[in-house]
Amino acid sequence: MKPSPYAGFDPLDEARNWEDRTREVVFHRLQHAPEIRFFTEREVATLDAIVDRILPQEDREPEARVPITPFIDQVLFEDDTDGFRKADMPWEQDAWKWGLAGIDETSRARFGADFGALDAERQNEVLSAVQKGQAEGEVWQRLPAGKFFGKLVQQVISMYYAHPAAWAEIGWPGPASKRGYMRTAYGRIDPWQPRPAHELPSVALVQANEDGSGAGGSGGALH
Amino acid sequence: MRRHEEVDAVIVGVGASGGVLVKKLAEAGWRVVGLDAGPHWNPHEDFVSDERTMHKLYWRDRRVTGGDDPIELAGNVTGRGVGGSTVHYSMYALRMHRSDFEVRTRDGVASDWPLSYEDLEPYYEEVEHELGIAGPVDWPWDAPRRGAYPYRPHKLNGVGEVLARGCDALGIQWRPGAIATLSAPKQERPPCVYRGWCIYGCTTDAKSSTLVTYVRAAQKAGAEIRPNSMAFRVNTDPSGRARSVSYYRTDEHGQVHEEEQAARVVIVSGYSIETPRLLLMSASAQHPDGLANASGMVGKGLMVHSSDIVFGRMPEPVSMFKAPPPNTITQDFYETDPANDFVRGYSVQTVGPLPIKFAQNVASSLGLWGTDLREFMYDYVHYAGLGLVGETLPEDRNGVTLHPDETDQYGLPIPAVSFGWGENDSKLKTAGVARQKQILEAAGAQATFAASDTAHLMGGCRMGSDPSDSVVDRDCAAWDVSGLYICDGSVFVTSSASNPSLTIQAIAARTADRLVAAGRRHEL
Repeated sequence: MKPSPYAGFDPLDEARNWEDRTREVVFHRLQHAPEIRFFTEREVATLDAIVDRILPQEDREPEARVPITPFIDQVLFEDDTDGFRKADMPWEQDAWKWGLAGIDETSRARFGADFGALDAERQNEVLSAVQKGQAEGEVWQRLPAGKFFGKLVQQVISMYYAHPAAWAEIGWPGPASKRGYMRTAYGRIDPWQPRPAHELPSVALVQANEDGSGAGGSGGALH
Repeated sequence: MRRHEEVDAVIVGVGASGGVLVKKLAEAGWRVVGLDAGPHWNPHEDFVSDERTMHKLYWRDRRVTGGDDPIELAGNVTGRGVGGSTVHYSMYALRMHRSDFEVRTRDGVASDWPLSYEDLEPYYEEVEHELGIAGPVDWPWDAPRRGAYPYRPHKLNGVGEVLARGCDALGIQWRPGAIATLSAPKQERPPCVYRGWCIYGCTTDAKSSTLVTYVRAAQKAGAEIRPNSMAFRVNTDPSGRARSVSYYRTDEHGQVHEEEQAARVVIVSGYSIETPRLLLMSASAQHPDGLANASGMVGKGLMVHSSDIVFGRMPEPVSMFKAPPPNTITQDFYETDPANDFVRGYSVQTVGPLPIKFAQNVASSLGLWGTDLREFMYDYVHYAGLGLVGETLPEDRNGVTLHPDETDQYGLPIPAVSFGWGENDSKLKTAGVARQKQILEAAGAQATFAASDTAHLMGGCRMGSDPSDSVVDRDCAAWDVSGLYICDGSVFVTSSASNPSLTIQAIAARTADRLVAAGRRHEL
């Protein structure tokens, strides 16, 4: 993995200027990963392995990695979900239980072992098959694989990019509340925004994926 | 069961429309109760500047979404709590065009509205002043104005400038958006400090949601807002007149109590899913197909906007997270153009997703995950996003019904939403996305990609001039049930290519005036 162009930037340096309750929410997240209450031990192992492929963090020491699974577990246990389901999908809690079992099922069908026991290359192959709706297994007869994959990716993203370590690497200064911004014009950088050490344009990634392999789902309306 | 003493009006849902109604009726001296299913938010305690925490502003009770092209619910279209979705909307405050009210006459599609632009114009003006809309010094498109916007426009942000540059290069007109956040102080409310958190709830009160505008004024005028109160039935008397609303109120200990509020006038303002759902749940021997449903139109004609976003990678940092995401707009493609293979049109507007939402758009449209996704996100500040507000036409197959066997936390049947694009909708959407791309490329984008989405709800209990094909008349009075009014986005006949909130509020302001006038004439 390429290193972030914003090495050394830490949005938490601004934390003293955040609203008190915003600071409380963010620091609580940093200091208290929720207990596992929804998934079984085996499901946790599978999901941990999946998360490592969806948003790999091999560049960080294990104790410095952004925890994801405990926060997904919390959402499902507390039913802190968006509440709706597509007509051809089960409710959220079932979707996750079935989907994790399905990924293991596909892994066994392809490689004779559970997902967590596969090497990274084989894991990626399984996940790609699920993404494309071409995964083997009984589960996928009742759970549309591509839609589950979309849900999985969206949820992993919402946990990862809620963490200041993720804000740091993308050069986003964090809550900026109450401070707000002054230099809003195109090309202008506020004093509390980082400047990248080098350019790392994503143009090639867009061009290579323009057909959109279709993870599906929605980030929610913006306007 | 607690039965509350009769009041003049009970309003179900204190959102975009209900907020306006409670204020105007209370100020006219009416005894008013506003029921809202969700909490009465305190922005200074309940709102935080955090993307993950603020999902509580969305309606997240159980719902099923289906049809040929199931729409996303929750954050896309709904709000929960006093203020409704105005608490998290992107706050474009746009008037519909004159043509929007006459699409049958002009374009041969859908139906004409029973209201004209001229009927609503004074109310657009009134609501714009009440909210303190910041807008451009002139508006070059339709929707003729009698005067300037009350507040000066906000300065351009990075993405606003990208839209402007692209449009200038192509000879397309653009303007700063007309938006419901203050650019100068108004009463106790401060101007916006450009935090960029608008769609997660404003913590400074600069954003003119009904929560901090109309509802505060309503309470000063004596209206009672009763939060955590989920209406489940509108009751009628033997003569068929609406008399009261039954609801479940959840107290501070989480205990649920059934209560009933009687009123001379019942106004349902629950928006395009909950309003038809409540009417359908109010079926009785007298009204076997649901209340106010003699036409069979309750729950039909649901519309959304195509709201595809095209993102462009710009050579310089854009930082689209700065300042309110609604920044600049073009409506050059709003009206029917005979050169197109579709009728009606679209607006193009700036957006400004924060990291989680942007990453989710990247993942869903490019299919990225893994190392690719993390590395892609390093480039976040270089992206500009343009959003579409594309008109969709009403179809009877798109709508809301009661789910036959699934229930919610109160034991009530959950709503089943159904949506599918029509042929005109799809052609219009394709043209809109091509235009968004063209504008970004003209502004210098080095690469673009499109994320498909929908936003807003309109219709489901449409107004009309013929009781056989509409649910309410032009004054939002139910054709078949006296004493019952339906006043929210569900009465929309067509969707237009404008964000709907200002029109919802203008209709509410007009309805309040009509009710007060009818009351004075003893005609209620």
